Amino acid sequence: MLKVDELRVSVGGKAILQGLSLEIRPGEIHAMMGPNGSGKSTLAHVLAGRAGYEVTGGSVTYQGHDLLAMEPEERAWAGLFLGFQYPVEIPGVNNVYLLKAALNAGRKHRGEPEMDSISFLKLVREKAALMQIDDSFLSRGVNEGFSGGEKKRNEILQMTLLEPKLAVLDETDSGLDIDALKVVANGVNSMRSADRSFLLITHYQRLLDYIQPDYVHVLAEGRIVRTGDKQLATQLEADGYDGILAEAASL
Amino acid sequence: MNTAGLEKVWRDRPADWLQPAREKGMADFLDTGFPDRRSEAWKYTDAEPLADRSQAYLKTTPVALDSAQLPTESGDSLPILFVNGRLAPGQMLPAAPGLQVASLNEAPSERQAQILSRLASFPGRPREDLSALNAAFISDGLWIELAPDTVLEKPIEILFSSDGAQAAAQPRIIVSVGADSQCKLIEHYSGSGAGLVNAVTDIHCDHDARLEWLKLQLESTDSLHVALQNLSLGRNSRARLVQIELGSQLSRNDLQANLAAPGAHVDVYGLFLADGQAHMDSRLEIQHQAPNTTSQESYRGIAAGQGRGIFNGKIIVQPGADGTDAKLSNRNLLLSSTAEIDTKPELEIYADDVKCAHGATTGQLDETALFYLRSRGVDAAQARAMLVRAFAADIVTQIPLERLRQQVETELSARLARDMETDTP
Ligand SMILES: Nc1ncnc2c1ncn2[C@@H]1O[C@H](COP(=O)(O)OP(=O)(O)O)[C@@H](O)[C@H]1O
Ligand SMILES: [Mg+2]
Repeated sequence: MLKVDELRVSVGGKAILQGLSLEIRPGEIHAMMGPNGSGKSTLAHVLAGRAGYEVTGGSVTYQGHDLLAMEPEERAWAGLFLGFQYPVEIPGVNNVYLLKAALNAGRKHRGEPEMDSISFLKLVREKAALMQIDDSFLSRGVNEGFSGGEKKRNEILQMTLLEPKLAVLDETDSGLDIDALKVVANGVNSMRSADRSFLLITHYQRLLDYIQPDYVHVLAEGRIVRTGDKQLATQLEADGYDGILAEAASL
Repeated sequence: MNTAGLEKVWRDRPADWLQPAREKGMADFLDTGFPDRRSEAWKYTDAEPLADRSQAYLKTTPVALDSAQLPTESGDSLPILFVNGRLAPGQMLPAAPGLQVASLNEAPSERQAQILSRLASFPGRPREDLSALNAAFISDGLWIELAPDTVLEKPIEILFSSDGAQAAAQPRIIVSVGADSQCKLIEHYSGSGAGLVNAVTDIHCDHDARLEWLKLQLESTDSLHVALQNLSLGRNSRARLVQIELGSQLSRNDLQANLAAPGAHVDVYGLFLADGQAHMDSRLEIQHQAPNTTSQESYRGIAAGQGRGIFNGKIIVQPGADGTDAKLSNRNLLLSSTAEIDTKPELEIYADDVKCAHGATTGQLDETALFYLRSRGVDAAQARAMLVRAFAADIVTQIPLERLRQQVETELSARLARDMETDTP
């Protein structure tokens, strides 16, 4: 599904990702953990095609295509989804309007018929109920005046609606109370399937109590320094990043 | 600029009952001629095309209008049609209890003194606006009077249409809203061809009156459009004005609002889109002349292509106007590297104990928001158009009539779709 090979990325001349390699196969859930500033969001943004990042080496292949050559919207049409660490507030662009435009843009590019308004609204209401998002939020501006937790649930709502092949969720768990965390985890778990993959970027292992990852990676200074299973996250929680990083350095 | 040609044309006209107003207008106009760039008020806008077209068009005798398609009352407004600045013949003017509407060219004799006195006292500024020229060459107009304690539910919608003829429309609209009365007025400019409009609208609101006023300018990209809106507000009267300027190759709009008595309030919302080669010049002057008057001005400009926008907003608090509360905000959006907007918000305060704020920003589309939309699968051009419409939405949603709100949204979408195609940065 996704193959990142020796990826090197700089921002403003500063090297952030320094030879990152990662392979995600269909159906897998990968957790990417790492201290603040280690480059997690940089990876997420580069995968989604945000401008301002300079790829200085390596490659990213997604479903056989050179991902880095695609426009952000082309990546979305091809089934890539980014859940933002800081979802953007866009007053004046209606939430439902965006959802419908996004859903139909994807359908159009996959050669599927566009969804009519009535079926669409029914679908959105269903998904919103699942995410415990009140209908009134749907008619507001995109993320406008939403609390931190509401923004994150809105990201997952978009994901459940767009049904991506690969979802990259950047710290979707940060700033959530335990109830919201469960709602978000439910949203992700309800989407799990043999042909859908997830890259869960997180700072804490707490999320992994609710979503079982197949792999856990530790990112430090722009590279994956450890890969393991769920146990690695538990160890991180106990020893902190310092312990793991010292151990990795001594190897 | 040579005005001798215009003077001759003016002298050769047959005199009518408006002659005293025309004479004063012509005298004032000849005093100064067309404004030039040395005047601060015309620093960014070249009046020469206006002068050239005025000279060329005012010479020609107006064409017959009998083929005009008269509006039918659409249900949501009381329409009145002007073609090339003249009332289309054969239409019934709106009638309602407490409402008087008369055409200027055929004003009943008992109204004439009243109209002449309003024309004589009109606070035009020969060096800054073209109201003197308008007075000299009034092509037609309306006298609209709402008696005290009258509530007019439907808006009066004045349709100013240009039919493509080389005509200089010089309409003059005079409105009096009586004490405790309420009404809505729409000036709706549209049409085809290389027309010229020099319009003056003068509205007085008596005490405790309520006015909603929309100016919608959707003229063709070949037309030249100049308008002066004058508003005078009596004690505790309230007005809400929405200006939408989307048409013309050169558009110059002046608003002078006078909060003349205590407790008067005005809200002004404005939007212009200067795309292609368009030049849009919008000026507001809000005069707080009495204590405890309040105003709020919110103006947005969008420039794309080679478009050029100018916003000049001035709040003046006169001596004695204590307790004034005024807020002026201007936000501008540049959609191409060749577009330009100049903005100048100003405050002049000669009273104590006032609350005044003003601010202006000019920027580009938010890259973060653009990326967010694209990451959801919205293509770049559509995402840009969405953000521009969102920028305009705060003003467009103020349009008091659903039909016109939709018309503006449709026009904006179509124009932005085109602008986004040609302007990909
Ligand atoms: N736009 C930017 N300009 C300059 N430095 C940046 C920018 N974005 C990120 N960085 C830097 O890159 C490093 C990695 O940031 P980020 O990917 O956000 O880390 P994480 O998500 O793991 O906290 C940090 O040192 C951060 O300061
Ligand atoms: Mg981050």
